[in-house]
Amino acid sequence: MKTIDEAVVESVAEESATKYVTGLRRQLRARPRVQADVTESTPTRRVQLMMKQLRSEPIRVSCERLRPLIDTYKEFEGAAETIKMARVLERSLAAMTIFIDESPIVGTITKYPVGASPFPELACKWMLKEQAFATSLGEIVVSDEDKAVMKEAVAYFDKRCLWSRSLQTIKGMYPDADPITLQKIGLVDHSPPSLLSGLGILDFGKVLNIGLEGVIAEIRAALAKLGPWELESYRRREFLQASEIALTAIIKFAERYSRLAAEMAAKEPEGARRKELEKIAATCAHVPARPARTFFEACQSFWFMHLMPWFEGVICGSPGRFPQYMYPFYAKDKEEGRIIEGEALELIEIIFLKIAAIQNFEPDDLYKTTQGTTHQIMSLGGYDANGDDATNVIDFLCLEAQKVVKSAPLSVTVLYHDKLSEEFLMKCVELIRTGGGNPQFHNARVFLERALTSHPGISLAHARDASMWGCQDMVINGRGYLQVRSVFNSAKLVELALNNGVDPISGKLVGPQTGNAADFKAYEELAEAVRKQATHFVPLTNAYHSAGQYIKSKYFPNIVQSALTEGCIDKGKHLYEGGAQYNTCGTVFIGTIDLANSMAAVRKVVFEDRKITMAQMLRALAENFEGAEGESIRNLLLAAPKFGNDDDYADGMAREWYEVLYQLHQNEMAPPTPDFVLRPEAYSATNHFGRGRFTGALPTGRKANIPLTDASVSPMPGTECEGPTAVVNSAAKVLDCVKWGSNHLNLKFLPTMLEGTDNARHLLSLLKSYMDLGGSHVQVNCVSSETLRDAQVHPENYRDLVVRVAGFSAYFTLLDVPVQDEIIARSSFGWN
Amino acid sequence: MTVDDDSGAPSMCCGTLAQAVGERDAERTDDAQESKIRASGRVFDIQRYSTQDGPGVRTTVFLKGCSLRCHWCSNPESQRKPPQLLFNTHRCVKCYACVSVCPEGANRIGEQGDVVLDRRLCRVCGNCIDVCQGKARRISGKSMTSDEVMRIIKKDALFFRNSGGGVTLSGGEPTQQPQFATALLKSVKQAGFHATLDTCGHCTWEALQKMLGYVDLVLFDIKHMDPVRHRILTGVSNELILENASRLSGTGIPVIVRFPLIPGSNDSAKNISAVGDYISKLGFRRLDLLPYHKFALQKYGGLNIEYQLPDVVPPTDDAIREVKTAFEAFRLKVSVVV
Repeated sequence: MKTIDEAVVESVAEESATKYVTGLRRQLRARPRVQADVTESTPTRRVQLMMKQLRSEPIRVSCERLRPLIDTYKEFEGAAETIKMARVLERSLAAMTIFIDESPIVGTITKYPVGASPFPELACKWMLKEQAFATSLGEIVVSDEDKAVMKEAVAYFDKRCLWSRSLQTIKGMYPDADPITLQKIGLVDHSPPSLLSGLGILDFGKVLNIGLEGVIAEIRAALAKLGPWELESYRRREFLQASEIALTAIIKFAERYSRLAAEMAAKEPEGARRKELEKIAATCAHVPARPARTFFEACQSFWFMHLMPWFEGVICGSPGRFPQYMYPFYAKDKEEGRIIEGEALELIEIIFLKIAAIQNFEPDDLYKTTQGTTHQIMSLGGYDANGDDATNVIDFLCLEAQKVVKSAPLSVTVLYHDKLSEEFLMKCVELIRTGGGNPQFHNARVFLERALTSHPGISLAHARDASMWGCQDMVINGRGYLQVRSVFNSAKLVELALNNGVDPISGKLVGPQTGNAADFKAYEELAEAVRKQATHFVPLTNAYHSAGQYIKSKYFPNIVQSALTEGCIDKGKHLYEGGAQYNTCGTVFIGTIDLANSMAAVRKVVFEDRKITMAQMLRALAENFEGAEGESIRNLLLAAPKFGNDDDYADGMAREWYEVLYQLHQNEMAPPTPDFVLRPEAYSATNHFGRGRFTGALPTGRKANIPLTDASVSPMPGTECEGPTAVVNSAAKVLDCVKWGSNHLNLKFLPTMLEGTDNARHLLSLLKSYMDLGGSHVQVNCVSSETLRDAQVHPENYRDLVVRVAGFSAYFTLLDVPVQDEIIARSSFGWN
Repeated sequence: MTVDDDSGAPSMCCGTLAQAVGERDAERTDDAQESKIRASGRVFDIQRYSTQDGPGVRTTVFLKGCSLRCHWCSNPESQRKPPQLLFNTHRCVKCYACVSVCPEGANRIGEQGDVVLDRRLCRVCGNCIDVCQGKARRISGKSMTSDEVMRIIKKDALFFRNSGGGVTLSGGEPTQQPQFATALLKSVKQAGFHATLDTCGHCTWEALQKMLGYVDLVLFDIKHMDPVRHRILTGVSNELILENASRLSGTGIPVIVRFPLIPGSNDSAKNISAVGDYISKLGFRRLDLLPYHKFALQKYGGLNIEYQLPDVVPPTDDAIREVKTAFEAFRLKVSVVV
């Protein structure tokens, strides 16, 4: 823990570092209202073409990196792992076949327009098993030639990969451990720990402003300070040398594009295309090595850096506060008459499209969890360093760009606060109406409180510069690292407590024997059993993941991301060692609403109203509510109080269980190094699909193997009876979003409820109220008429859709078909 | 407060209302509770995040009981004041649990094996609801005190404040329970919330006047200008309604006239023009157009009431626009409520 004095000294010292954050030096004065001139745009011909291409292009796996990967590993056997990883990056960037198509912003993660690369060094056996691979955009194609080299890689990395080494470490620590069984029942993550380790947002602003050459200069300065005496300085030197190798490799990668563009230009007749190629050649010769001079160069520099996580085996990378670091370049161009708004919009649209072309190569099991998402999240709005509204024209253009190109893998979020302008908020609603759940909203004030309480000594300016990374994680822009230790399914704890430690799916005794539930005489006995299961499993499964993190830290350091996260160069440590300035480590809890609703139902139906016995309920659960008796028991359980209705019976239960998990997380575990603060997370992202498959019938009335409740403070589907204000009240009350790293709420609205200015204002007041109450996150999904038609065909997936017309409300799926048709028809025209 | 259970959502509505209401029954309470009884009324729904019954985000309290019987009524369960059992036969799974549990023998097995509900025997005790496996049954209507209603209303105080919203009293017809409605409106105003009264205007002026002391906005229904036609369509003449409209115009309280647009019933050019002329002369400036919809069909089935307009088709986009334009000719600001 730092003292206040040290913090002040440090924040003065950091003044130089903060110069890359827009607005830090801005004088305190009233800001003019910002609004973009472009409000309704149509995509340019080029953007239209790229949109069409993206949709028709198959996703292909490129194995180009495997040959240099294997060779580098062999050549550098015994070398420092940091150096080895930098060399792997260097050689795979050099080996990649590059191309330039109609996009003026160049660079992809593979030789294909839409592609993915395998990372056998992380986990490899699955690559031989799978027949077909799927992603959000469809099936992945792997050529026969590629399959051969993949086989070779799998043979080489079989015992060397992160996954194998992690298992060996776990078995060494816990001879009786059975992580595979726990994995099969969804208690240990269904993916290599590497993939869940989390990262942060790299310091794009730094690259744009001082260039990679500037960063390399910093590295050299740090190297020069290292003496010959401390053991530690040798390890630091290795990391710093590795950083220089990696950053230099990126500069060379850009230069390859420059040369290619120049060659292409030479073959091109005089004209627009030739000019454009020459511009690309000049740009890639200049950035990201040197500071960007124009908005165009800034876009290209950003893009090269944004690609890098995918070259280092990370499955998600976030642009962070894009408008903040991009705006100065736009403003300068605008002032000097080099750019008009439409041109900036087109470039942003192209970046959004290129974001959608980034794909992951992942096993089917992981795919079922991630649903193919790459979790690239861009943060708009928010505060500037002085606590004013940071919104600028680029924020508006990003909303417009997303409205036009609808880049599904990109999630746009707004860091909400009360200083956001009415124009900006209305623009947000405009985007919400187009469906797709963009933008999401995160509470900037809660972020600030969280940052200030998590990181002792953090400067106010840094605390105000928090943004979103990954699924729902908050990090400090360019200075933070977030280690997601594991995803924990809380709902499974109920199942284990009801079955005396036996997992009903596998039939194996996996947990502590907490008593025969049929003999429980009071609710408190069950609660105690669940607490014991939690006390056993939360630390244990996290210990497994912690072992994986150790392996990752030792053998698979992430060099580029480390070098470009403030703190790592100073400390000479990479991210996994706690090199970043602000580090957080936490477990993501999912299924906690299912846990709470289960406990509320058992307490009410079995112990208070005594409508059924515990034995009857257990039988119904074991039989997945089959048969007439099962169905009637299910109805009783469904009718029990449920979270999300502003009713303290069930909401209190959710609050209580979240607190149990919080205490376990904070008291029974320790951070990896003193650099980290522990902070639990509560969001599902897409994990409720994956984990639901391994969770049996629950006392909530939920049947076996279907998805768990989504998000972390959303009501269980079909149990929301009191409308959105009640949901919001409940959501804000069960979880202290300052103590926790996140909360996650999904709201669904039919288009009619979002039409017109009045409805937009109603929605905005709902959002504001939720933020006032301390909620951290909300996503408003506008249900399209296509979705409603799908709901007619698959009502089981849409039980929670509520129709509201003046003086009338009903569940959509339970209405007669003609009435449904009428509602769909109503959704497609606007009156106000 | 509840999504209409009629729609058969597994009845998961968690008991805010049920708990708040308890077992209270006006007939059985003693003198000491006299004042409380006066302040207790029959409520059939409380809808939070209502966005079409006045400004901002609102909580709309629907009181049960109405003196009109409009053919197009979208809340037929609101017409009669006593609690009613709704039974949606198409959702019945023929488990016959209701047959054995009914103390009055009101449920019996019909010739086709279906369950037949004899409404003359049914005392609306609700025993059949919990056991019903198809979730085909629910009761509409509960007694609540104004304090109990206020407790639910106050949960959304922040939303009212942030949106400029408040509370709307609707129905059924709130003026049919004048004491309760007045007490509730008074509490709403005491709490500082914006109060809207949604009324068909068919009541004594005295009853209406008492309420108006606590009302910031009136939503006033006008359905037809012809008294005979009005009686055919709604069961009552429009004379009292128009008289109240006229008196209301003299109070200075803001009014939005609500006109349900029912094809074949009140959409003739002549009627539109008569309504527009009448209300604009009274000085009313705003009109809500409520196009006919069929969303309530299932509820008619559930109550075993015949639906009067089975063949009427909701008005087309163009038809709505035409009527909107016709009203606008009277310098009215017209909103279409869909």
